[in-house]
Amino acid sequence: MIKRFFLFMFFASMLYCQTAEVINIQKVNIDREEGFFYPRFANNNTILLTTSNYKGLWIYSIDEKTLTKLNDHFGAGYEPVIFDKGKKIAFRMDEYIDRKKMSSIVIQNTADKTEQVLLARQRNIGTPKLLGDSTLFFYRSETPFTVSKIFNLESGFTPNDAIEVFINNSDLILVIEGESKILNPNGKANYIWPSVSPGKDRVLYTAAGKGTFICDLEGKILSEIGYANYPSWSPDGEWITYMKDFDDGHQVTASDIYVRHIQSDIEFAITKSTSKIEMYPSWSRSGEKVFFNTINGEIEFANIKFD
Amino acid sequence: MFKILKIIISIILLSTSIYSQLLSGYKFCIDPGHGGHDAANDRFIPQTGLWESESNFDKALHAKEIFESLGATVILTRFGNSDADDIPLSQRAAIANANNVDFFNSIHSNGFQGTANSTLVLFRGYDGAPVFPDAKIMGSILVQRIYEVNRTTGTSNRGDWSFYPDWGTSGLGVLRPLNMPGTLTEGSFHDYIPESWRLLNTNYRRHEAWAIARGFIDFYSAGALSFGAVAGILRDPDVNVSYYYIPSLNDQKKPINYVNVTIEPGNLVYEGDDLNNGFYLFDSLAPGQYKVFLTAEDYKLDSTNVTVIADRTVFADKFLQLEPNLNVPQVVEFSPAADASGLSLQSNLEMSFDIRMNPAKVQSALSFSPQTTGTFTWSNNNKTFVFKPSNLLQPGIEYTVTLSATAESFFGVPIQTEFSFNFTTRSKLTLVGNYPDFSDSDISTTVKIVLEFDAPIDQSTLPGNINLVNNDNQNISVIVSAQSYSDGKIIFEPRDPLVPNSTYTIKLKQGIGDIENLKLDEDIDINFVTDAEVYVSGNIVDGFEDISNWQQPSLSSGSSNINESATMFEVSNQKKISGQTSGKLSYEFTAAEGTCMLNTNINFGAIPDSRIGLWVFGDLSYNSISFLFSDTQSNTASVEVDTINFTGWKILDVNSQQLALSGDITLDGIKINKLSEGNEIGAIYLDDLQSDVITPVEDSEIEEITSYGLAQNYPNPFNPTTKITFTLADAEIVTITIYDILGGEVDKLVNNKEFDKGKWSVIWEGKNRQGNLLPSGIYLYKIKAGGFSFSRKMILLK
Repeated sequence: MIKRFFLFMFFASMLYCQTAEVINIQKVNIDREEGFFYPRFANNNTILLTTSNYKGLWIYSIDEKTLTKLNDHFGAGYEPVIFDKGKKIAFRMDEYIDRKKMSSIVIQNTADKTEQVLLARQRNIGTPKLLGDSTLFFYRSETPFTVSKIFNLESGFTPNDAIEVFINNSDLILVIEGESKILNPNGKANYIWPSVSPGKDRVLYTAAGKGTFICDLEGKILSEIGYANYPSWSPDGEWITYMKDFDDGHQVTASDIYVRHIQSDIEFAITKSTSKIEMYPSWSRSGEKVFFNTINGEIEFANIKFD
Repeated sequence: MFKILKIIISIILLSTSIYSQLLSGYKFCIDPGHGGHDAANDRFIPQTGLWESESNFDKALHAKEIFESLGATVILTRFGNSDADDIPLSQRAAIANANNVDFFNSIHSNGFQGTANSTLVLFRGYDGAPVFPDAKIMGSILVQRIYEVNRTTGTSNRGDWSFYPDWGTSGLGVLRPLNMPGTLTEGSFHDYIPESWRLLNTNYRRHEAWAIARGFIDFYSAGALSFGAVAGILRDPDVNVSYYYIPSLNDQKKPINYVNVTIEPGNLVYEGDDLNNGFYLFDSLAPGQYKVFLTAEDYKLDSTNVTVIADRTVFADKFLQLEPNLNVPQVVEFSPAADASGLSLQSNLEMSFDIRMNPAKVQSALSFSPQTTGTFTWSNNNKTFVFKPSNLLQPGIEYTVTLSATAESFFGVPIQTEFSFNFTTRSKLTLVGNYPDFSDSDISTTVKIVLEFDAPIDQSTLPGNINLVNNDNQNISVIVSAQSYSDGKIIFEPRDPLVPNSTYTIKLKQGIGDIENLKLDEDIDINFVTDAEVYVSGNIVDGFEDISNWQQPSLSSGSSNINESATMFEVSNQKKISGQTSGKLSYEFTAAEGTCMLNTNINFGAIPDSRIGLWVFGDLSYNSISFLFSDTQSNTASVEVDTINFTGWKILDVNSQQLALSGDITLDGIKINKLSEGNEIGAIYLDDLQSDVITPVEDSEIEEITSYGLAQNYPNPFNPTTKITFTLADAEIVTITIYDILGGEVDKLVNNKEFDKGKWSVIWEGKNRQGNLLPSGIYLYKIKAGGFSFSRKMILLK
């Protein structure tokens, strides 16, 4: 009977299988010698851009074809969050004071570029995360590097309803109900690129050298994706996008972008070019576009039809 | 005297305070460049056997230890040097970014036609316009510090966009995605052969790691190390190297192997390697005056005075003078052993002496009878050689090895007396082990047959010379595991399950041969009888279609002494009892004792009298397998259910009554224990974990069943178990109920289970549903199978 149930589930999943078809790939024409990298959808068809080393932030309007430089801070382009309906951006700003890395949490108004420093020049703080539409929090590695805590920037307390994942000393750490716990589903590993699913019930992550996986909030592995770098959830949590990049030990020699339907475990290539090296994909809010950059810093996006 | 005492006290103090926490509070990412052993990417130097990936990794391990001793936190991008550790550049940078480190450094060595040996550090950006200005500053410090210890020809601190102009602003893939300053250090050139030999020395690598640490301390203005180092290279002034060297680097003279260096005060001793580098290092010495005593096997003791300076390395290179050893050389070890027999035709001769020998003299003094040609490989400072015959030795022959008295030591002293011994080669292929054994019974119908011989098998000799036949001498189609031939094994399994309770024969003929062209010299028949028992599934709680109920062994509590990278549990479609897949547990123990645990949490509910079973495809490892249970009161029970001395599927079961648990019973895990005689490596398959296993049911006869029936139980009377047999003319849902003489139901022996057409038997153990033994008396058993219903009486007599 159990077997029949599994067979039913198998066929059910096959029936549920979706396909992804690339309608077209469009290039965003922005003139900058060093190019832009790590595009992130912002709001109203605008994207956040930064440099290859995450220095500075720019906002580009696809509709109006306008590029606005927001700042030139080190680290600003690394995991910024957009909130307040796209009016504000929060990021971690890194400064090297007497060569020592000091970080600040900054909120910047995208309209007038004014900056508000919420937390100034601290050591060992993580990038800000968003809870709801307006509550920001971040993590700090404390005394020394053993305990992780989440701080609400406004109240100073740990927000109990936050479910987030962080990396601290290579551990994959889940924060839930105000408590943090080490998940490490693959044992000892360098965990990178973690993210909680939109439904807040699964975690997507990469264990360097082992592959990319999806686990539940207890750390039990649910899916093994395989070689898939820089993975991220689609807005509906049904798909993930990632890159498969290859190198010769010194420079990247090839990379393409993929999406994968999680339930059916079927992968679709978004880019297939041999002449271009496409990297670092991210979703639009609608989930119908995947943005990425080429190794030369060109920004492109694929319009995808999901059936 | 007071001065010496002061230094000794300083050394003692250093042992506790030497690693002051100069870098406390900093976090660094150290990236050992490359990884694994891909000749295309991991920079292999055939002349020396150096892999850059190995050298980089070793330097990084030293750096981690040193940095941590200085109070820093270190994130390594990889934990080993297997091919799986060769992670992409994007992941390396992502590790640094995710851990929010202060600085990133990727450790490498360089290569260029074998004729250069300088030190290069690269940072991101143009030479004059670094992306992170601090990276260029760090680069200028590191390149000088590394240059000082590696003593290369020069330094270069460059922006990668300038250094690789063809790459535009793409630059080095590992520096591009960093969100903090980072550098890539090319400490020296691994294809410059003298340097390649030095890079094989782990202390030479450690020296570079110290240089990197010194550079970081400088960069952060964190003070200075309160201790220094003494290093050097010992060479023979009378022997030139045979490879290219750069004159300014003093690499013309041959480095001495197995150097022995002592430093006083402190009586610290350094023992060198035999990797043609002559290098030595003392890396943690209090500043002050020291005397270094330098020697090596067959070299005169020399000494020199050095002044150790804090935060620096002082070099004390020396040419050592040869000191002839005029003792008579002796053979101290050799193989094959004297009078050994049954030796492989591919056997090598190995011989060791107590004195460095003259290889040419030894080689010309060595003879075989019958005559044998081959090649020599010398090691251990020319005290050991291995002779590898050019061709196979002759079978069944007694060989005599003679080393004549003309063999000489390096110093011209002959061995004086001839040395001789005999050994005999094997003459035929021999079967040394087999599963099933001769006349084995109760063999699984899905048995994997394992035949082990004393030499690797020649696959081309097998067709027509090996068969599996049934009792009617009909060939059984099998699937062969071809990759086992090189291990001297022939492994195969029937394509379809064998017939239960039947005799089979493995027929081996004389023509089977091995890679040494030797043949089996007799026909061999191996008879075995298959298991008579056939099982019907009970309530399956896990069909192993996925393994989400199971934790990996490396993460399971109770696992010990397992190789985590080689031990894993995964879904497999290679073997199965039902459904599409089973669970495959591959394991490797790293010690004589060990436990491979699979944690789970599968609740069977309340099953006071139920057989809990699991199908296991055995691996003939002779390790034990246990089930671990607990109940709602957190009582636990561990039951060793079998030794895995079988292949093929076999149901391993345990009666819940044995467990002495109450309430809901939960399976907490399955455990493989390494037994003393057990294999270190194995793989078993698991399928259809179930309760209410239909206790062995016999498909006793292969006959056409055309009617329904319920036979009289046997034995009858019985105490306390009896067998109830029934026949089905078609597949049916069957219920067999036990009643007492008053008609009260006491047990349901079979409850709505589907059986195929045929003859079946079940065992009743004289217990009620609660698992309690029933009193003597008359009981009724009633079958209901589709439209068929029938009852009989039986007597329980205690």
